[in-house]
Amino acid sequence: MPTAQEHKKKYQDNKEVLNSVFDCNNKLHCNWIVTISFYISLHIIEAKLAKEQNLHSRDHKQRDEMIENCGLFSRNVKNKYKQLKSNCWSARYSKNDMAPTIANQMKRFAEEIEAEVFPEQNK
Amino acid sequence: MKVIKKNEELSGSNFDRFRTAMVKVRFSNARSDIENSNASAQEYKMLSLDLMDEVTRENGDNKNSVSNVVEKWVTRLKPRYWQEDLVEFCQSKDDIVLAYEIRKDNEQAFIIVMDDSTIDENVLQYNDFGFEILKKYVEISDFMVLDVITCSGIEYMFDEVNTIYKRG
Repeated sequence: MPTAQEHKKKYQDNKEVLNSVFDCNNKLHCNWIVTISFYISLHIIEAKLAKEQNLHSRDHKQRDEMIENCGLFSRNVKNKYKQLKSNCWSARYSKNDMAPTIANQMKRFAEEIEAEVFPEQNK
Repeated sequence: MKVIKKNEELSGSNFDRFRTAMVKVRFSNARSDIENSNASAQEYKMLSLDLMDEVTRENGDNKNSVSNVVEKWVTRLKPRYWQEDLVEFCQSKDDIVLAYEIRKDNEQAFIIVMDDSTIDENVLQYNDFGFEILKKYVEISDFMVLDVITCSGIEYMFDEVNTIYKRG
């Protein structure tokens, strides 16, 4: 199972791709921006769980339970992560594409989760 | 309602503790015995029914202070379905268009559909409400907050989709 550092590297790599390749104003990119933003937040969560409590999840359901019960995450983080997850699901299965406004919002939510969970990263 | 059989065994120590407390004339002295007992909910149900039978035998069906207490409890324990909570919540929000109950693989969930999910304050508040429902009702396994665009054409993903709220 990945260590906290390995999860950190994953979310930082994803951030790099998101910022260098994708453009929120390009409608063709919006589904992927939402999806990558969700996986950035997922690895931030996993990194924190691994670092603080040596917890590792096998799937989304188990991760959701850990987020709820571990006591590491604020309501703000939980709600933003949940919205990222819902929109990521919709980006994959809805017949409509994500709008640039939602892509921007989800990218920002991932950044805000990082700022709250790993404030030292943003210094 | 589940019928509780009179012949179900009570665990000896809990029953003794309860009996000792209740037979004392001064209930205030016995209170700590009750508070410290570890009887199961099932045991308390049986004991409550026994007590109610006794009160009925003594007082008939006339209202008295004991029956008032029982009535309050029954009202409080009346099952409330999660759909009622969700509809009440949706009715209190101007920007909620629809709420769906969805089922897939024997799991039950719900979706709140907003006009526009990019208003942070509202979308986060609705997620917060979703988590409250998850905590309160074990039969609900998940929820999503989407908007009229992001929830479009998702029905095929579920075994069943029922509209439980539609803005008037």
